[in-house]
Amino acid sequence: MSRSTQKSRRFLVGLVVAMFVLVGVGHYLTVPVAGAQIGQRAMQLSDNEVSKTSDYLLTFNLTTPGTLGSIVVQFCSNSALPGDPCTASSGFDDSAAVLASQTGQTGFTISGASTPNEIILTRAPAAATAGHVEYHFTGVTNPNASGSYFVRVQTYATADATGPETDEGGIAYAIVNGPVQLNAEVPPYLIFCTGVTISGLNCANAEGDFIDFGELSSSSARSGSSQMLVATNAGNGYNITVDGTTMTSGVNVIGALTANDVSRPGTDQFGMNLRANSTPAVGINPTGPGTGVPVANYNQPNFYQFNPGDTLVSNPTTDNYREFTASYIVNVPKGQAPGIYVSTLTYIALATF
Amino acid sequence: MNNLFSFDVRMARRVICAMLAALLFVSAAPAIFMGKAAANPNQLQSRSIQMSDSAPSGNASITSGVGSGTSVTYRVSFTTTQAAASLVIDFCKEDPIIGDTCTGPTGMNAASAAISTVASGGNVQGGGAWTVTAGASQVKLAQGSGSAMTAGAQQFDLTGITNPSSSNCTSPALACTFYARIYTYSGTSWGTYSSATNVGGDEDYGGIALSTASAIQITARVQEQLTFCVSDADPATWATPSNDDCADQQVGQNPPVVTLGVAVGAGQPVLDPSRVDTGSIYSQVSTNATHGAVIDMRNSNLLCGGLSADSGTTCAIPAVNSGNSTGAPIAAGTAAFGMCSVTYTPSSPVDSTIVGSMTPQAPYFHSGNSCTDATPWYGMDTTTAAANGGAPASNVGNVETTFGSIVAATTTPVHHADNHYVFAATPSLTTPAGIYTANLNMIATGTF
Repeated sequence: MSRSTQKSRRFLVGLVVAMFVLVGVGHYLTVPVAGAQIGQRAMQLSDNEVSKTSDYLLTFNLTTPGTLGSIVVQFCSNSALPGDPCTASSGFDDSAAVLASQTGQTGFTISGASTPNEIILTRAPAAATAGHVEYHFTGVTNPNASGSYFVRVQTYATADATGPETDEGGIAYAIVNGPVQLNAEVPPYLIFCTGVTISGLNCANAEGDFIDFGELSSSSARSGSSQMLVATNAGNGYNITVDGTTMTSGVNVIGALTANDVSRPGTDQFGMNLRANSTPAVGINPTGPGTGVPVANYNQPNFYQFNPGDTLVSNPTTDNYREFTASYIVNVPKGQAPGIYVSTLTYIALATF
Repeated sequence: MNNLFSFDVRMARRVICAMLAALLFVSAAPAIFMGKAAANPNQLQSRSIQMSDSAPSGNASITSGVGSGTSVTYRVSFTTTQAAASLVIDFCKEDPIIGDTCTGPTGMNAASAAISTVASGGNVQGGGAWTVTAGASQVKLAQGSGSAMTAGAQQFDLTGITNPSSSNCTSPALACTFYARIYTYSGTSWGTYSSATNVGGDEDYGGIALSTASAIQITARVQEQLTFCVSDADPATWATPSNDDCADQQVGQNPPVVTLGVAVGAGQPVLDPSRVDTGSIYSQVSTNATHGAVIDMRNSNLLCGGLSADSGTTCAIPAVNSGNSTGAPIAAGTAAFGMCSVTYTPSSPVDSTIVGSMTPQAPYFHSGNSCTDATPWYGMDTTTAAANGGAPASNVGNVETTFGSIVAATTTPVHHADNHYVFAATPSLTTPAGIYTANLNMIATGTF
């Protein structure tokens, strides 16, 4: 056999093989009959965290008018293409899904033929126009791993999703490991200071810790004042208490006002309040952006009281800067024993966080 | 006898017999080879019919266009030896032999055939120059307002023909032969033609074989894609194993956990009324969604939308600007919590694959007061009423509603579209001490 004859035979054999291959490929390249592609399709989640229960809002535009009896919503991890094998997403479960609302083509219920990764909406076949539809599902459990997942939507004229599909379309959605976690700590604080004067609502400006009443008199009250500034972010508020003794000089005592009363010169009185008074003229009302107020017995102008351990201010919540002015009065009877009378008072602020 | 002029009778008889046999063979040959006996017909030369679509008709999956076997154009070419004013084309299942039985190919329909002129194609032209009389498997052409065919090359198109269906095929199924027979006539009324088996009076003739073949359907599918991730690592650091991609290990190793505040000593960061503390996260979206995508944000503190120390019952650090749908700056010491967003492009490494961007939306973006400006405005919308406008981009709401508040959006597909989010908070003096939290769902939705 000549060389040219051998070449010709090889060529012919090759040609025949190529034709068979082409014919075979032609078979594999053919695809099943597909419906029209649905438009503007989306699956919106209320929570995209792994394994969380979420609302799923399916929206799309029906493309083909005609009879509509069922809609298949299939959830897959591998492909959005209807007709491809569908691998169920690990952890995904629509068994508890509830069709909470529907818009556009309505009257659907979830078919009992639905599976954990496929919701079949069914109704009696009815005419449908092309246009926007929405189906809101609640109670769907997200896949248990982050990544991209897919939804396939197919519509059918039949009520049981059999027969040729009408429209179809794929959707991709994303699941993430967790939400954005925002953390912030607000540390507890209590600002409290005392002084004869505190200017500018600023403890740095507190000055003085000594009040001199001068010479006590049975004909008129002696008075003086001091200030305290408080602020706290204690959620349960704060109390300010006063501790100490009434004015004493050795064994001689000026009696404290154990019940609130007005100033009565010529009597034995030591008392205080936290208000602006006219008799005698001493003190100012609480100031500052805070809202704290004195307790009732220390909050009445011209009425005074002093009991060691008494609560002067009780505020049930946080408070911005609040400045209280303590007004003191001293009255003595004519027979008051001479001496230098002294009292040391301690103010305590207690915040409850 | 060995004579030069002698006559061998037996030899002579053999020669005469051979000559008679040869004469008989030669006279019979034309009838055998031509298959017809006409007065003076000649075979058309260089004859062919070229189809614009060789697919059989009746294909359920391809009902129009190339591959459907419908609306096919047949380009007819031949060279005549004699002038003619009409012609007939018969399409037959059986064979191309003139005069043989002819059955129209199954599924073929040439009834709507029209003639179309081919440039420099000769005398047979459309537009009334030649007229068409057609049936399912026959086309008859006659001189109209144009000129008759002269001897020579002719070429014209017959449009609107439906090919034979696959039912016409026997075996092999993918190559189905059928035939055309062409006869020309001197007059405009097709001589004495009455049928394919009686084509009388033709000038020229010729047979042509044609074949349909199943179209090779090449289908390429691009499935819907949406990739979305959120991380507190700057995309500029997303380099292993891929460049600036959600698959990068930096994304997995740096979940979006933001602790606002400044550490005091060795302690945990704390907020302070004297300043506004901030923290950043980043997101990336890649999607081939035709109608783009949106990123919605939902706050786990559904009752107040701010930072809460009591699991969302109250938000002592409330949404900035009272949760208004317009942004505002945050002033130190006035308790507020908000977020601003800008598009982000890492300067290094350069990502040459970026397509499009996710545009930040109000109240999370304010031109001139963006995250990167000197006085950023922040937002945390808790007031916009949920209104379902159909597509996700129109499905507005706030961070407390079911599907959240839109923080960024695009109307076109995007690839590696990064966004930078800055969260900011400050307490007031009266903000109760505590650990404040909010879990914010960033949810990407594509509209395909």
